[in-house]
Amino acid sequence: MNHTKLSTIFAKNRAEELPDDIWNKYVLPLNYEDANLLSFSKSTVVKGGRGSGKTMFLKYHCYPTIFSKNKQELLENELNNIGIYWRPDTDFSNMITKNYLDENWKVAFNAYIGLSIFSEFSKLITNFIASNYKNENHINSAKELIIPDDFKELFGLKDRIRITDFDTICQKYRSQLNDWLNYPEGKPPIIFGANQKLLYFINTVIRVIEPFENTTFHIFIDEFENLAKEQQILINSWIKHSQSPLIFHIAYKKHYKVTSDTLSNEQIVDVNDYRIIDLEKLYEDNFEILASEIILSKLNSYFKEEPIYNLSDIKLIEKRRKKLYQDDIKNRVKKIFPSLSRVEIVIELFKDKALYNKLEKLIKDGLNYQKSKLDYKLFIDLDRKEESLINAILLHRDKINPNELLKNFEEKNISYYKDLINNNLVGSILLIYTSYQNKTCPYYAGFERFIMLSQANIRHLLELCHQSIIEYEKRNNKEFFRIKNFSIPIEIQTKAVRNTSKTQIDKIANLGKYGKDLQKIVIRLGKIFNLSQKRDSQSMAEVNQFTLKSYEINSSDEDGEKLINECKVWGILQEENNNKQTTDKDNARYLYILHPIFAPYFGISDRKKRKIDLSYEEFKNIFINREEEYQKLYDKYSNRWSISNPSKDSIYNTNSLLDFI
Amino acid sequence: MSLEITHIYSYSQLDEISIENKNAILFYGESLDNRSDEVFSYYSNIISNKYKITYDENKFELIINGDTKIRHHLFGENFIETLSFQNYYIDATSLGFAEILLILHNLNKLKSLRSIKIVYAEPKKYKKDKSTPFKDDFDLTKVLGNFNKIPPYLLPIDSNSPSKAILIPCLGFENNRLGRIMESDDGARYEKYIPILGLPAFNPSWENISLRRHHQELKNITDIKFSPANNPYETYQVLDDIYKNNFRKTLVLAPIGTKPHGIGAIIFLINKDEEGIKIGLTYDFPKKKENRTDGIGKIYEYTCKIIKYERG
Repeated sequence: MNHTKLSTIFAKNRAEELPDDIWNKYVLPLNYEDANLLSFSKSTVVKGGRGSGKTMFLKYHCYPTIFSKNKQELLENELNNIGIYWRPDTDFSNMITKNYLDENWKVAFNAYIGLSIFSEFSKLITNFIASNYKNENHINSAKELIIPDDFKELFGLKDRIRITDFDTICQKYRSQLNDWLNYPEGKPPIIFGANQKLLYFINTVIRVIEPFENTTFHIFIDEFENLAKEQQILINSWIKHSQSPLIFHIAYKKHYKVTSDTLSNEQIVDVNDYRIIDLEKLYEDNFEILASEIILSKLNSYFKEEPIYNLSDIKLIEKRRKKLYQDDIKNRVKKIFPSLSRVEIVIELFKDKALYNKLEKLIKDGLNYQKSKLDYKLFIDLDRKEESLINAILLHRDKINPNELLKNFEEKNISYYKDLINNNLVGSILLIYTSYQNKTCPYYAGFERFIMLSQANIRHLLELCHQSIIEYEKRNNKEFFRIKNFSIPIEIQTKAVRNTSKTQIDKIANLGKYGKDLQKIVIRLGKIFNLSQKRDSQSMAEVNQFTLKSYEINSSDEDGEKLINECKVWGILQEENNNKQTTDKDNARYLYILHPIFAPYFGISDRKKRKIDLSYEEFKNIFINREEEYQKLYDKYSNRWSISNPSKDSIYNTNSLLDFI
Repeated sequence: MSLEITHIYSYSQLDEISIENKNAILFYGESLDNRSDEVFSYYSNIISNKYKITYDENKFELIINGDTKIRHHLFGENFIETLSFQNYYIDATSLGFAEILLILHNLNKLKSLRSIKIVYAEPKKYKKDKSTPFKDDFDLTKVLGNFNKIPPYLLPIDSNSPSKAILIPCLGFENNRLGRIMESDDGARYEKYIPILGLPAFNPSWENISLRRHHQELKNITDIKFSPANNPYETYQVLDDIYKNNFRKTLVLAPIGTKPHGIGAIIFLINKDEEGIKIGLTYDFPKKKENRTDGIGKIYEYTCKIIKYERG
């Protein structure tokens, strides 16, 4: 009997909370061969948004995972390329700058990075000795490794010490460097060029013993975007000249603007000096498979079920590409997170008295709008619910003649309704549901929707699962949980989806310096899209995107540019090329899509469908201006779209506690 | 040497406070609201020697009376040590966390015994923000700064550190200040959080605002400590208890709650530093809004003395 809650397995969705050894835990993406960080003889820039699993990806390539004791055997060829992960304390490294230390910053930064990586080399050898490597002679030679003679002098040691003990010395110097930074008078306690000394150390010490004689060491610097510009420039210079046996790689948030300058006049250039791996793109193609595997591997670990394959093992990727296997795992996850088809959703809608009443009202209002005396009941047929729903919105469109519509309906004109259903059914369902704040639409439930809502973002996906299981645990005794019949009902999922969506909006305030501004933008945009979703005619169904009408945000509009970029960096808005110009005047280059994870809270669509064009003034009212100006814009749209029930509560409630009860 | 809070006096009016004007000096900061104006005007009428101190967190220097700039590590030698007074008054209403920390850090190094009085006036109420869509937002901060360290209280915790640390945040009204730390840390540096909530708060029920606003951040936290929002002495004791119960663990303070909590944290940092124990500090340097509070509430005078530290 497992005493922990199942939900906690899904709560641990942050790579750093996992150990450094992630063998058996990390699910390799199916197209991993193209992205293997250890297979490339130049540097790599790893880009990914928040929650894209950057740190996990980097750690997969590092020595704690490569030397994992969970591996049955460590093979010799696995020693050809070994990674070392380093995430600086960026508040601390911000002190090691020109600003604080003048010209001393460079020697101090070299010391900080050098000592940290030397210390990692010491741990690397210790881990190697403890690994399941079969060649005893090699292990013994690693045990005997000692620091070179000139290091004795550099580190002020009496005797030469073993590499395995070198970590303690490095930590001592890191501490001394810290003391010096507190009172930065004179020179730092230790001075050496990190890149040169590391190369020297690798060549004269590590590569001398047989197991490592051909090894290339890869240093992965995480959170590169948070380093100071001069520090980035220094590391770029190392990247420019990176080659075996020492290659530097960097990882940073997508859309972040980092410098490509080096210490010389040259810049580092894509293809020539490095390649880029965009993690979201890497996951995008096979995200449904990856997501199924991640969810099942978590459930397997909880239920102590033997997994089909070790998902961290590159040798097994081929087997994971088989259709039979993929269909099987997808079906298993779909059983856990079932969904309703659109037809079934409509059936549920008709069963719910309040929702059905809303449908009737919509038809009556539509007939009034058309000044038609026809009986509203004629437009409803319980055997043709989808068509009835479509009737309700069509009656609010100017170009519709109620008599002609009725004729098509009575004649059961399938071809008339076919496209209308395809294009308007989801919008119509959401329209009915937006009338009731306490009802969440079952449309948002199911594994396929989770994939859509999370958009290749692993953190969002796991949070959707986590919240669903929390809700499930509240109502079920875990003693009866079995993996075979484990399935989360639709209504639990929809509640969980709304909770997740709301929680993600709450958390925007924590994203960087401008978090509160970003949160405000999401709420304001979401409310406008929600307003559009309430349009009875649904003539512009499923609006969740915008373009900027006849202008572009550029550096002349500092605040606008900054906020748009922050929205991109934090994955709040997705920017795409505007390929669907609506009119000749629509010359906007970019299309901005609100991340679908926010859609359930606002009751809007998660599909990339329609957009609104914002004027510069409207953009400013949403992104920058005070609430009064925004409210005027909201009211303007409310009138223009003839919304009968705009959101009465114009204020977003950050009180999540009450919102969720 | 170490600092000790010997008395806490509470007043309902400024003119109830008697000030020693002989051999006295006042340190004060940027005034942002009418309560800091009132405190400054009352004290500066009696104390003629006064210095306005501000700290530039980007240049790591202190600015005296708006013009003289001193690097943080020379602030003691080139400024505090050149003063020769008996009664030191620190206006914590207008001074920021970093300024109070660096003033006290350097006063504590002075050889002869001094009297230090820290004055703090509570606000009567905080203003609500009407310019945002958020229902219960207070209008306290223009923009949050970077989480810079404040030397000499540096302590790096990175992927190469031998262990992760425990973060001790003091909770105020602005949950995104803690949320930001959690989000950017992402589990990399902190293995545990032990927040301190101001209880009792300045006003009855204000603790509920703080709790409600931190609902999201506190979700998975089981260990919350309490200390009166106006009492640095108690805060010091709470911190010391946390320290004793987490022996050998690295602690990092995030003084993002009330000013008296911040003062308790400052004295704790200074005393531990004197004992050779490294405690980390992280602070976000919010740019406070002008006139963010209305009126003046209770006024406190915290009397400190410097005691000679006996190494055991």
